[in-house]
Amino acid sequence: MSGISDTERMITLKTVEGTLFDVKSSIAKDIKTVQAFIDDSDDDVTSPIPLPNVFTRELSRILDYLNNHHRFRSDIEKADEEMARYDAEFAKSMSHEELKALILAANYLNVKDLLEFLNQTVADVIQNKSVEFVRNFFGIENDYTPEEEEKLRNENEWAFNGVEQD
Amino acid sequence: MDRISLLPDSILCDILSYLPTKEAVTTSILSRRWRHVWKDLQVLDIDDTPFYSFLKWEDRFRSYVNAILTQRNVDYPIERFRFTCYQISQSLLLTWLNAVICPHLQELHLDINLMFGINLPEAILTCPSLKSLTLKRESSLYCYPKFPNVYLPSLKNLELDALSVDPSKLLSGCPVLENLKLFLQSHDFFPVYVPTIHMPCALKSLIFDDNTTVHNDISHRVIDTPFLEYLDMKIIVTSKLQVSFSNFPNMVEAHLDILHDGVKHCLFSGQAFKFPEFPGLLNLELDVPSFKTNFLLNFLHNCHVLESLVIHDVFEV
Repeated sequence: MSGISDTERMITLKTVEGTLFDVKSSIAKDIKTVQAFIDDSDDDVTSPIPLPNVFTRELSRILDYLNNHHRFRSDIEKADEEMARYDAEFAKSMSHEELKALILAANYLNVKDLLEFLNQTVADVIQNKSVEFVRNFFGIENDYTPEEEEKLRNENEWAFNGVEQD
Repeated sequence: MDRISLLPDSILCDILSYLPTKEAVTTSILSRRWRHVWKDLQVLDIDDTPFYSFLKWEDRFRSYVNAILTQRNVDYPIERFRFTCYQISQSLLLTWLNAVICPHLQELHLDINLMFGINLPEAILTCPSLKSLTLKRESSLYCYPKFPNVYLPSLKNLELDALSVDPSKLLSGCPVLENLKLFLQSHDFFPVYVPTIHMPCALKSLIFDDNTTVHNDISHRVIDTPFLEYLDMKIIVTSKLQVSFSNFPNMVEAHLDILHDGVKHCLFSGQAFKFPEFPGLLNLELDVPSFKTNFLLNFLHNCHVLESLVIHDVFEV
């Protein structure tokens, strides 16, 4: 870290694997779970904050996302354009597995904007896809009996017309 | 259990809220876990387009909307409601709207075609939580005849496209409105006269298209909006039109498309336009059929830091 940001307080986060990340307190504010931990502590937080549900790979991506968004916001001129381009790249660079892992992490850390963005990304992936595709995407096992499924389809017939049977 | 199913319903439901509601409902077939997730949706996006290809599609569409409104979990009030419908009876629409309106509604987007006029339920026009309101459908919004009691204390965004009634009462009931898109349309078979429009003073962005000014009586358009940053205005100038502006210290972009009706070569010589100063204006686009050089010079004198100027010169035949 260099330049004017030197004066800003740093927070240290610790992942499941034990990797340490130094985070500016302005960034930590967007991570509500971390901020709540800081707010609840009586003294200044000096030791690393443990994140028992967050893996290194996910945390590093989340911090990357937050740092970039902070940077875009400080430069008002082209903030929206640059952010949209970055977000599109970010969404494209993820495999489905990474996307799901990131949702779990963003949900645990309570990073609202990122979570909304990831949920939107999932919606874009499953839109107009078959029931089987969506089951595969989420790793869902169909636990309906054939009779139950038939009954459900009949009850809301208007919804399933045009949706193929498995 | 699959990993994503460990997520709380609120997340699954948030994912579904980005899908058209019809598609969100079909996730109930995925597994038992998903059966009721869609019922907590607080964002509904209902569109009759996918139904057109079916026989008796109106009946099918009706059972679809009725099923959603009756099966959904009422503990989760609707926050956003988008409704697109080509043909619908007035009574049915009112029934559905009354089921949707609640003190938590933040966004209402109606894109509908009505055969007859309709008075919007007063609960919509006095909804304290409403932030965005869109009433839309090409040229047929004379179906919203009057706005009797309007008070929308939270409304930030309003889109009326196109409207063929006087919007004055509606606009005066929106004290904190920031973004307004207003298309006023008069028709040969359905002439509309709007004597005076006062734009709400908190506006930051105004897109305004007005062809009702061709009326034989005097029309006033008052754009006293000192916080305006973006202006896109298309208006027909006549000798009966008076437009007054405030200064726009925050303006960064303006598009002016000025047509005139039967008045040759005196476009800006009349009383219609007294342009204010634009101390911060960077981009200006003018679309005028003919203009006096003096007018343009005077105008440019008022733009102190202009970086780009585009003039579309439309020659008359």
